[in-house]
Amino acid sequence: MVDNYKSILKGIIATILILSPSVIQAASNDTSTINYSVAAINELNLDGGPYDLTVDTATAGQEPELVTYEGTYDITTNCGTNAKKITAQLNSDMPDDTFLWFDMAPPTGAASVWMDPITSASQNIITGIDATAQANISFIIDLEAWATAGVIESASKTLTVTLTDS
Amino acid sequence: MFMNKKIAVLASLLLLFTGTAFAAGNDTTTINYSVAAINEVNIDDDMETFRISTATAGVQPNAEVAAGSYDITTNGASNTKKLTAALNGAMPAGTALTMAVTAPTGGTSAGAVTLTALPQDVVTAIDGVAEADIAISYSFSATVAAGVIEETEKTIMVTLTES
Repeated sequence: MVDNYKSILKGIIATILILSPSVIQAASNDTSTINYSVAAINELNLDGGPYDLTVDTATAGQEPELVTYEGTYDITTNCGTNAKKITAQLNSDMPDDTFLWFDMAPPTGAASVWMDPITSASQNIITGIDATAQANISFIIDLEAWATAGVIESASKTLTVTLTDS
Repeated sequence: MFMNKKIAVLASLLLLFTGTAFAAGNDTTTINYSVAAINEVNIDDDMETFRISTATAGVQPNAEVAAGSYDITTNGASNTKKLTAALNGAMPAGTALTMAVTAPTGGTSAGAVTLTALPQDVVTAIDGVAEADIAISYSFSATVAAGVIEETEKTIMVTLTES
């Protein structure tokens, strides 16, 4: 009877010894979970500033010559196709007979909008913007002042440019 | 008195014989031993979370990076093992998940590897080694073309295998 128990015990031990190496080898890999996401990103930057414009020349018999500031802007957005636009507005209207014109070259895939002078009301400047990441895209600001505007001492306006949903 | 001395002498002789009998006993036993192939790798970080949410206007969104570590024990011969890494599926277009695994002593790191669904070598020429907390560096990047992506899960499988 005792011998039988010994035989059974030996059998169990032998089985464990045989199984052990294969159990060790089975653990030769491991996994890790990666959770990832990308948020909506909409970044717009006008390079430089403030921009100084002074109307100071004219040809006799004609309205004063407009002056132009040439600058650049940068844009990054991961929106869908044609999903964004850029609008512009001033913090208040320009004085009578003075005009600010703002023209931005569009990023690839988008379109510029021919516009009236910018005012305190928001206006579309560029539409149909796709996902893009471009730097140093050109823009111009023109200041026009008719003779009837008179002399204007140093003044300033705040131009707000917004990248928003179409 | 005389009897007592005889008893004492006999007792001493018995003790001596008994000791001699034990000392003369010997036996042998056989020790069978073996060491199985051992290959253990463990990524210490069960989960990493990346969320891209910032960019500088004019350039692609900022990549997210994370640091992790792993442990390894193998009794493989010199240069006989390597670590591979694979995802359970390909990343979406415009996104990339890279993994740079520092090699254990004697091994060679492949540097930053862009992970795909196919296993790629991240460390090669691994010798017998037992080291813990070896550095892993992860990076997740996305171009604007990838668009907005809600939280998604991928599984990285790291395998210690034959070179």
